[in-house]
Amino acid sequence: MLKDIRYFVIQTKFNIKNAYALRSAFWIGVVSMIVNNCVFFIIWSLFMKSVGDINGWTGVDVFGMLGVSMFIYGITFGFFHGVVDLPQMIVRGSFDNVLISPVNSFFKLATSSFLVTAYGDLLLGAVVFLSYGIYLQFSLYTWLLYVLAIIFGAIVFLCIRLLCSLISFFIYDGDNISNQLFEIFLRPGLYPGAIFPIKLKTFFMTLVPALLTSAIPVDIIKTNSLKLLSLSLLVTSIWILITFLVYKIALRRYESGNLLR
Amino acid sequence: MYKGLYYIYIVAKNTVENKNKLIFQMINHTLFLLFSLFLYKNVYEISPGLKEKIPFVNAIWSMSIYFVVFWLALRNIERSFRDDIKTGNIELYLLRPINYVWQKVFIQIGQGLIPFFVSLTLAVIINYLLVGMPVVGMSYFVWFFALLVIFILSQILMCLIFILCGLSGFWLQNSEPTYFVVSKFIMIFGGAWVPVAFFPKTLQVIAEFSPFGASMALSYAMYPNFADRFWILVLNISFWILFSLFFVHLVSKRAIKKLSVNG
Repeated sequence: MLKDIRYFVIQTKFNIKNAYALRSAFWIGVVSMIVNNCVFFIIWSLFMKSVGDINGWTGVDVFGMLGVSMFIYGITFGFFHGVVDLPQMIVRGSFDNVLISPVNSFFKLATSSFLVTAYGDLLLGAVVFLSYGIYLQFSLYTWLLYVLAIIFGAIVFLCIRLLCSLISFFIYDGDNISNQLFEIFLRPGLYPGAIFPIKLKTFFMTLVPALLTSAIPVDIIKTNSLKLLSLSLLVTSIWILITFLVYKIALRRYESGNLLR
Repeated sequence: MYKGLYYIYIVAKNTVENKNKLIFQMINHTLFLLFSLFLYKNVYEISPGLKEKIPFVNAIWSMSIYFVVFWLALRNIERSFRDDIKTGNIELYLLRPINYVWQKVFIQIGQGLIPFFVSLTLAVIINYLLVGMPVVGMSYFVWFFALLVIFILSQILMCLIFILCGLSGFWLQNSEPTYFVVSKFIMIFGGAWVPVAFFPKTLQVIAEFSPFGASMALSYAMYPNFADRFWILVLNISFWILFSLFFVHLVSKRAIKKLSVNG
């Protein structure tokens, strides 16, 4: 396991170094994504200005939520982007390269490709979610809850992205389907958590756990609720288990593309 | 004209070969419609004052229609240009007897046509059954034709805007940043997630008269004051079409001169 993690770290470093070789392209990608993301702040600040505070959520909370969401997106696509390319690998038959590698197939897959713009999400997300904590003067306990909630969110996000890609093992030419499924998951997480009626919120926290990756971390620190954090942990564990099982079953279905040379 | 229609027909036919893709796209569309409907219903219950800005029914129709147009995906013209420039495939298209830019437009229309019509049908049925027809201040028969005019004009403008974005790739090497900025402006001023009627008055005017808002004018056609604004919208879109057409003509000439084919 330690060997696999070391491989993951080295490969990620190599990926970043590789992308940074084209320095201007790297920074254009990062900055353009930051500009792109600012749109969400504008949209929701206009919304909050028009609607006013909702269910105890202010504009600052919505910013915190967007920060969390972008940070989690950045982590997943900045360090595990290979899972997005999985459907194409299956179609091309190039997944063989991952399977015959002496390291864990998941880590090999995750680091097999790289998305520069994800670092824009990561940077902006980190700045916003940290500023949110500083602005609201979190105690050490609240920081701990916040960070744990974000970690759970990131894990769930990665699990769902991987599950969406794994569909390609079961459906022919599943690239587009995988993206559509992921979009269904992604969208609710970009709406302020306060506008969800309670039943819809429960649905998007468990069955389609989109809110775990955005609004729930903010809800946890707003209510200082250990109960909500425990529930997040429970849901995260269930999704890890589901992903693990589906991954194992999916790998067994793979037929070599015989493209090895 | 015939060649163009035939081109679109062939691409559209190829696109629906993959039925799974279309089915999942429409599942995504339907879920999103239902999701935004229930979410905004809750928002209107929490803040009843919003009705004065725009009635709930109109807000739902406005956002739905944005996402219907989204499936036509004319914005992908830029990506298509970008891929051709990066891969060098552009020379393959240049060898064909139809103008390069037209080919890209036909391909995009062909790819988006079926998802567009299916999503439109779904949106009309879902919205009609769940919230009813929007209040538009004119007979629905006239409204339908007014919508058609606005739709055609705004999509011509949309095409031109993304052609310009794509052409910027001849100088920038990667036109993606331009695309990001333009598409997000369209998203804000087109009222994708939040209806423009929720914006402050000044911003509403800027949104409506900017090329970005004009390219998504169909969502403004769902507003209660559409009857009064129709001709203003038509004039505004027409102005931006002429403006963009001039630039597309100028820039595409220079772009072709700049092109170096490596064989």
